[in-house]
Amino acid sequence: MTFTTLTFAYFFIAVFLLYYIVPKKWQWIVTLLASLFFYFETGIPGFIMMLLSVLVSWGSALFIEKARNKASLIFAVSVLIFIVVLVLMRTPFGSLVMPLGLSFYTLQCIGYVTEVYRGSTDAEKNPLRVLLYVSFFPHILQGPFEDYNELKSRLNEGHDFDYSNVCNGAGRFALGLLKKLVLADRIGYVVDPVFDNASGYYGFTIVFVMALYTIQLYADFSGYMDMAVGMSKMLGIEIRENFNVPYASKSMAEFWRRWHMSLGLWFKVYVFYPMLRTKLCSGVSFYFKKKKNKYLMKTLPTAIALTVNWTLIGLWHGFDANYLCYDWFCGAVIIFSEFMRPVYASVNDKAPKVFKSKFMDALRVVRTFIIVMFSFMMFRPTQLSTSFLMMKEIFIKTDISGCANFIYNNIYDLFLIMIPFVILLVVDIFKYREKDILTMIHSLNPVFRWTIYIAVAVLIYVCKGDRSAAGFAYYIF
Amino acid sequence: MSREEILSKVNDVFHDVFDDDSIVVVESTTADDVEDWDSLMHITLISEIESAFGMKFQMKDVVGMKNVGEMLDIIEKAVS
Repeated sequence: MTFTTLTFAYFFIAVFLLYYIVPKKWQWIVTLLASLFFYFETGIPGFIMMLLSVLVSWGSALFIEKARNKASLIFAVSVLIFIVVLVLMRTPFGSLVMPLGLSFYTLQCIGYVTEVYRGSTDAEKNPLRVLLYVSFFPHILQGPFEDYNELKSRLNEGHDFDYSNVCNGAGRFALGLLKKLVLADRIGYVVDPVFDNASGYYGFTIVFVMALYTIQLYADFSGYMDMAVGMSKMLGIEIRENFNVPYASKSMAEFWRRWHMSLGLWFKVYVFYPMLRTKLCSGVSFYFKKKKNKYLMKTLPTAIALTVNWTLIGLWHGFDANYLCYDWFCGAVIIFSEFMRPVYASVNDKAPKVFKSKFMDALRVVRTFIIVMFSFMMFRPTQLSTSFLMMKEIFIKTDISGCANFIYNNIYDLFLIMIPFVILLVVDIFKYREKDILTMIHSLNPVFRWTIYIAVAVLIYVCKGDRSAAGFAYYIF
Repeated sequence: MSREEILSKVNDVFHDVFDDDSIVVVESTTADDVEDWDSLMHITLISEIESAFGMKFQMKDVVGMKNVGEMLDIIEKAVS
């Protein structure tokens, strides 16, 4: 029951009505039952595993709070359990029963136990509250990751029906549908055959396909997030944003602060910061401080922590070589930039004014987009050999006529994605300027506003692909 | 050590870590107000403050402090 199906629409309408009919103090129970029903639909083994994960995090958090002298041991054991389960599920046997969203909700569970261990939040006595936090249906399958401390009150408090919030949420959901059903799915028709059989495509065709895929992945993943944020908003619950115009980034480090933001934040808080504070990193830092080498004192511990961080993100994505290469590549680019920071700073200081202009910033944005596009060449194909083949084929020949043919053969789908692509671009340009286009539409006169709503609905209906069974790109995690 | 003295010493650490003597931090200063104060510099800053004051921040404080004022609260508590 993915967000884009009609069955899900009936499910959500029922949940929505019930949510605002029952007394406010029972709303969280409606959300919990809806979440359990939603996740139960994904399969009984996965459902049982999710319940067990919640039980482990709820129980260990309580133990940690009650027995502070044994807190470290309980914390280590519980985190180990989560990691072992995650690893086992990545084996060929585990992949047969791999529950949907396991990688996502496991990080939520680890985050909750860690917060209790650190003393940043109190252990929740009611297991059903922890269950709701983990299983909340808009975020259980693909995130965004939420901090228990921040989300608990929003999930557990009662919410009044707020017409403007509901309209805003519905608009956001519709935007997500447009991104997913028209843009991402239609691009899928064009690029999937190339990834399935990469030999025979060269030069510009591959570059064109990769540019399309870069847009597809963003439309798919951020479309899902739009739907998750929109639905939550309709229930009066604010959840974290996961994207902030990532393709406007001027560097890879900035890209990762704008792309899948909650994952980056999770790893920063639970891996990167603690890693920097280990004896290894602080020892290295201390050694170079004594040697009065400020440059290595800062960059070397950072490089060590970033290497561990990106390796773990790679393993989190999966044990396949392509994910590990993709994440190492991202990490390597960021580490390289860290080492080059003083060089860049000195070049920028001495460079003529044109280097500080908006034009140069635009070039930096294009450069980052190309690096991201290149990195996705390792992320998308299921085999690393396909990635290398595609990289090689780019340079074998330019193949302009082949690219023209490819465009001609896919002209129908490419034509249909033009309008949603322009909409995505406009929405992101407004967002980059910190303006919310949905709020602006909502404040328009009803005739204009409803014309826009109906036009978007017609656009989705007419142009949508028929790939509902394909699910979202990030479901595999 | 008074809060003013702590703030003055914290300012010195900022100058040293960011290589910029023109930085003046006050209670309300946040990471957005200081150029280059990103997550990497944050940890360097934390380590330098720890060695300057002979204290240790807890991880929840490292990730949770919102501005220099909150940093001063933690240092004040630790050194008093």
